[in-house]
Amino acid sequence: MEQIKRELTELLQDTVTNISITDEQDYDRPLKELGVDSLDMMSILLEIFDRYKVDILDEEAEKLTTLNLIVAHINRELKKMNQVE
Amino acid sequence: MIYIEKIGSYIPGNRKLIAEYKSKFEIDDDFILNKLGVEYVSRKSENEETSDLCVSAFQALQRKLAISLDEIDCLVVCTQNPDGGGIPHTSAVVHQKLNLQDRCACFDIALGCSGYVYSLSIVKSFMEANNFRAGLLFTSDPYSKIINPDDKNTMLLFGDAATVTFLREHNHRDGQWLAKNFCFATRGSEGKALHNRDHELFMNGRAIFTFCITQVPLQVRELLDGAHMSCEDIDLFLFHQGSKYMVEQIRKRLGLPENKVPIKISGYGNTVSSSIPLLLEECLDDQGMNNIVLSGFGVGLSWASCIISHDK
Repeated sequence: MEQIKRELTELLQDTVTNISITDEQDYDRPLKELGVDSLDMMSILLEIFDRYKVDILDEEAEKLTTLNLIVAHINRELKKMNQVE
Repeated sequence: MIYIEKIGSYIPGNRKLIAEYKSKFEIDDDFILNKLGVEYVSRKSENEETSDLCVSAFQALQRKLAISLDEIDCLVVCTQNPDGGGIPHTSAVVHQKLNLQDRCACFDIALGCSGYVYSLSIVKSFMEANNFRAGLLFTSDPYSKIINPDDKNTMLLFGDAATVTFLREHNHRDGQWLAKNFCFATRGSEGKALHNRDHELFMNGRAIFTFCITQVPLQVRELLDGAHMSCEDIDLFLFHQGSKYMVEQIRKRLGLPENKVPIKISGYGNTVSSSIPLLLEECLDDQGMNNIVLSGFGVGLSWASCIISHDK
């Protein structure tokens, strides 16, 4: 979990201009408040797919409104993939 | 050989200020300026038809270059929003409005954002196959005909415009712009991501974005490999102006410097098949340019790229 969280933070800092993630509470703040807009989200979802091969569907993405929710989702999907393997 | 001689363009004077839609669509200045990159979208007037935009583009071309109407062997219009539903074909309507002679061949090409690159190849080949000497290639796709003003995805993005590219045979090749090394691709299985749904344009923004920024860089690399060229050999990369953010993401994925990838969308929006010739128009007279990549992508899903070079 912690590694995904670290990687996702780096990914956001590379992808979203002027994003501000300074403390633990930011991981539960709405992404919009962190400066993530709809186009940023498209890039983030694409980067997540490139890195983890986790394809997040549109209806799932709508519910992933904070960083912690995204981290938990990736973690869940990776576990599922590992079980299949 | 058939070369690109000159481009004329027309952008309707009626503009909608995107900032006026901030509260309606819950967007801010950063999104408008840095993501869409569109401050105004151009809109044709109610009584202007697709063919009228073509005629205005031709008039702009004539102000740059004296063209005898009698010398035009073919006239092609690239559009998916033709006059009167496409019957008769818009190129025939433009033929009538320009009062061209009977022996001029006319047809339409129904392609969207990849349309300019496809059409260049089609018209060039058609002219060379039939020993034609002079041709007009129009792009005119006023999406305002099918935009729902309440749809954020399309209302804030698409603008109306038309261009005309004059293609001419030359015996002397020095310094002429030659289009070559074409690459074409289609993914019909994802066509619903951008389509005409009950006479209204529908766009799945995420699907289009993902398609463009993953497939276009691959095709550009394939194009350069096929031409035995590298990014350093190319003076400019003219990408279809889908949105500022999309062009920037494609640029980053290809590792290109900002000064090689112009973005010109702010004053009128995404003009579909006209966006590349609108960029190219100014470049043709730049003697410092030798090789330019053109890359269009969108409706279909369809994507196409080519190189235009100063022939030597």
